[in-house]
Amino acid sequence: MQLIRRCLPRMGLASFVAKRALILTLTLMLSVYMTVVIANFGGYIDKILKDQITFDVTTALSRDPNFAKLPEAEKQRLIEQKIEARIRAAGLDKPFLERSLIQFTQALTLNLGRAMFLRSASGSKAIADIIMERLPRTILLFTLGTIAAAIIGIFLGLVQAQKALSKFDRLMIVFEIFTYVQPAWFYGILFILIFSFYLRIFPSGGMVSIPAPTEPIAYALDVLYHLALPLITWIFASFGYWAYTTRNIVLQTMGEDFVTAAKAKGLPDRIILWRYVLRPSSPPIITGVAFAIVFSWTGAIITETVFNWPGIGLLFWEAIVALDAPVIIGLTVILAYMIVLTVLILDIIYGILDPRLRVVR
Amino acid sequence: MRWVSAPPTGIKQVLKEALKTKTGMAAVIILGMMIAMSLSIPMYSPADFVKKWNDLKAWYENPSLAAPVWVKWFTGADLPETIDLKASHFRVDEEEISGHHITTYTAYFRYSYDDYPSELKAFIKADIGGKPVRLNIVFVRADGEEITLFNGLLSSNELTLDLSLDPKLQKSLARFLYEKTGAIPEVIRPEIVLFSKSLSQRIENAASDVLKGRYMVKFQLISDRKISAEPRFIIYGKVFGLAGTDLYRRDLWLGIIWGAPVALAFGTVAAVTTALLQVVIGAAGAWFGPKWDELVQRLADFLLIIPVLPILILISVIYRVTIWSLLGWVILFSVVGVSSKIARSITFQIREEQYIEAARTYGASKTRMLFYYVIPRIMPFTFALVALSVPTYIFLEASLSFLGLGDPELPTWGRILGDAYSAGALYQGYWWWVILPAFMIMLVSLGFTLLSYAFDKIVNPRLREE
Amino acid sequence: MKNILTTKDLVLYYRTSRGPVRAVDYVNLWVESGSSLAVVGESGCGKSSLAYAILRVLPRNVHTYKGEVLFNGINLMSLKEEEMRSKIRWREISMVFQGAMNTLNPVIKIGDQMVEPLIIHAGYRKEEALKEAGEAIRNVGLAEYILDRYPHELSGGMKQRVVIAMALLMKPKLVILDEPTSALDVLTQANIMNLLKDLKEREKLSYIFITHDLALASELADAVAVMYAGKVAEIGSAEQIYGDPKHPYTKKLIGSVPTLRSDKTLEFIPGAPPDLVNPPKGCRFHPRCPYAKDVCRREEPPLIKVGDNDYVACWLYGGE
Repeated sequence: MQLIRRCLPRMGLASFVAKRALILTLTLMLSVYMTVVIANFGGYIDKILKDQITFDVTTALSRDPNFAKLPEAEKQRLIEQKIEARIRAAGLDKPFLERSLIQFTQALTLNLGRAMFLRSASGSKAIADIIMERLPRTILLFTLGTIAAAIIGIFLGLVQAQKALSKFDRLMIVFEIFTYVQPAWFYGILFILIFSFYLRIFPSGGMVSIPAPTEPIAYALDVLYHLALPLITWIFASFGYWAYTTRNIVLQTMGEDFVTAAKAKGLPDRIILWRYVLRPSSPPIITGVAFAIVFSWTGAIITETVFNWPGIGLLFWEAIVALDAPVIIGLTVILAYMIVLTVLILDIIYGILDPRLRVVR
Repeated sequence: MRWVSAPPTGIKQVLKEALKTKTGMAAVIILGMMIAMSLSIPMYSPADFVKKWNDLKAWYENPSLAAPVWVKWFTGADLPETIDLKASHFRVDEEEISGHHITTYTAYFRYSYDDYPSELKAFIKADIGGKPVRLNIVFVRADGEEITLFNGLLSSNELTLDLSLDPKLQKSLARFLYEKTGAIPEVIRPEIVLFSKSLSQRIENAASDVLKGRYMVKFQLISDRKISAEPRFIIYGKVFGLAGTDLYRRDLWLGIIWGAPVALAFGTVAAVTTALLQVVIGAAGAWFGPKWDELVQRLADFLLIIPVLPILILISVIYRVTIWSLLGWVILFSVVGVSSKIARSITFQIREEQYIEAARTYGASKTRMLFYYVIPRIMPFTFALVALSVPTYIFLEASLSFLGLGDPELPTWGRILGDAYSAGALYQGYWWWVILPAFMIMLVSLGFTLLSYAFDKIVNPRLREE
Repeated sequence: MKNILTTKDLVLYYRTSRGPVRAVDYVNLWVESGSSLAVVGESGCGKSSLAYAILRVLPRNVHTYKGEVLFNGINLMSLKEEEMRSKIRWREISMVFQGAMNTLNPVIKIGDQMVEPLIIHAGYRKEEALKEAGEAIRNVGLAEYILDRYPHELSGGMKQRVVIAMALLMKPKLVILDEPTSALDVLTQANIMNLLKDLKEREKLSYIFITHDLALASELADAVAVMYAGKVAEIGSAEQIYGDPKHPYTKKLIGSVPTLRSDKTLEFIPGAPPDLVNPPKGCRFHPRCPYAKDVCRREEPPLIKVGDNDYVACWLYGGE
């Protein structure tokens, strides 16, 4: 914290943060509105939902024995009445532009509203409930996985930088790029086949066994047991990025003149590594964290689907299949907010670590 | 002064040098194989394959969920392949008995495999002229036992008998088993019973239990006049082809091969197009002044925040996408990215050095300079990234196809994997349906990874020192 | 006078994909105590590598490194790396790098960087070390607030002074300066040169001053070593070299320096600098030498004594 106290008086950091925050907010608003438009796809979904309502009403009425007894004109009138009522209840009667703006302001203020079709496990239709129920599971899996992959990868990258251009290094590079290019869900299906079906070490999906153990410790262990394979998959798919970029950044820093100068100053290797190699390298590595975390949440969708992991990725998929627009919008908005916040925090950290960035131009 | 040899400039030179390295050559070999595979498709694939792939009724001749043929070499057991007794296999005999015209079609086949068939089906096409005809299908085992598979009326010109699921056959087999063994098992599987020595349906000991020898199938048509017919009897095996079959009996080898050109084309076009766009936009931003640069940066920030995959999924669900419209969207969302950043920083450097000269040049427009001098210098630095982004785009398309959202007609690798997943291949062990397409994707990835590494070695000084 | 530093057949080759680069190719030179030796030559002739070779600060791709470096009687090459690091570097021999802009750690404040050797080698506490650093900074003509700044906040000239201050902090006996003024404007250059002269007087330092700028070297040099293609072409006192150069290369070099007041036809040296991977056989300079003889093409000339402390590596001066 002494660091921050020393930094803040320099006007660089404060205005830097303010500038970034403004830009990110604008971008956030733009992308939220875009999501709203797409999720309702210019009224296309409206049409689908209206058709659905028409169908529902007509079928329901035709099953009602009293309905059949009514004269034709009455029937028509009743059908139209019911359809209109349903449409109004669903808010579909307002013009698209108006509705989109309403949804936009709601989304921005995180007033997420109610789902059209989906429900939470407790039966609530409030989108906030649905999302909050599942968000922790996604965070558990993916944040844990990303951090583990980062630690493993950075460590590996450091080792490689010190053994640069050796056979080990070269082979690892190819291996790292190769594993990183392929998405986690791809490894997911292979690993399920190998480890779950053939070797029977891990369960093939879900978060808990059915039926789930009731005792808290047993429950936690059960979750861990189900967490293992998706976690391993995620780490395997991501560590390569960390290792490769760390290796390159560290190697580049090692080749800088000031590192040679440090050596000429007779500084011991340990100090050179920490102050002259790692500290200047950390800003770009940390930016990499931003990308990785951002990527992990959008990549979560298919991975969670493959493993049947009940997080927001799977929720997204379910919402899409059900064409539940409010849920889709809500999820995307939450995602956008999280991304913006992460980017902002990382910009701040970057600004603290690399004083060169604070220069006000 | 650092003693590192200078990197080659010029696009052609970089390409040549990259291909000379070991990894470069390995990449070329792998990718060359893929391309050769793609080009060879017209030779053995049926025309109009795409339509056939989506027509699930067109594959009835193949067994369902059959493993690849070469599995035999690994398991040692001689797993059965499909025996297709077509009309030409049958010998025709005609008889007239008391006013009835009896046409008998007889076929023999040898069964010497170490495992039971997976399914049995009988087909007949006949011109019955509107009047129902009596049809008898008899099966004679290698040990001489005769079982009537069907005894009834043929009332239309075509009949398909799914013998493995036929309830009437179940009943007659139950009787048969009771006579022979005194017991009626709960589940009767005709394809096992008809070929089993012990008749006990103990599947574990298939190799020793299969009755090997000469079998006979007889179709008999009884009518008041001469009927010409085409019988067919298929004894479905458990292995098929180079890559097995899927749930819908499709030859996976063909599907996998077809996936190659689709993947390569999509990936390469997407990668090259986005790289070009990114470089031009990034360089133009840096070249034309701070206002444009700021604009490009904002665009980059915007695209960074947009969750591309969810939006693509959304679009695919609402609008069915074809592979081309998908390509369009993907390019749209990738118009600014890592390559534009690289282009931007290199352009800044070039601006510093060329700027003074540029001021003195023969009135060449800034745009012209950008395209003739700046961008070609940037290109070699993007090669490694472009090579690496090809598999990324292939996987993007595969992700959508996996979920069932991609092009609804083309057989892509992602789609095959998605079909496998939905059919529970992972939980039932139909490994060939998963591993073989996955292997192909990995091979392509490997090829491009090596290519990217080769490029990186040439252009990136940190990897160049030997 | 005793020599504070002598190199005997010092060799440093780098490994590259085209083959070994012979940056320092059996170099023999010496620096007298309290005097400064200017090492001059064209860009790319191995001058900087010489500095690295002496301090044993080697990059990753070293092909060959051998010879003797005698410092106050001790052969540095015989020392273990740890001894070299803790006893010699910065305490006895320090270095001012070419391009000071890049030799300062960009993420650490000036003061913190400067005091590192004091804290690590001499066990100072931070406050004491900063006091010393403050003094050193003032000695090079800068104000103490500099210590609290980051490198990117300083101008080129200021950074150069910082780097010089840093090099002097532990009061070493020998300072190697590698093109200390090449990136600076003429005025700053003059200031720095004056500073160096001043310090040499006051602190009785010995310098090795590496530069491609002959005129600059003449300001500070007591002795001059002329390098060509990784080898020493001529070495001697400044009067000798500037007044009566012997080696054809040196002659051409001196002749190519414009003088301010007299009218001189500028000479130039035809041909291109030699390739250090595949240097010419025999005397390295023979392809561009107007006096090249047969023997020059065949054999490398040794250093031949032509004066009290002056040597030339040229067949024109005997030794056959």
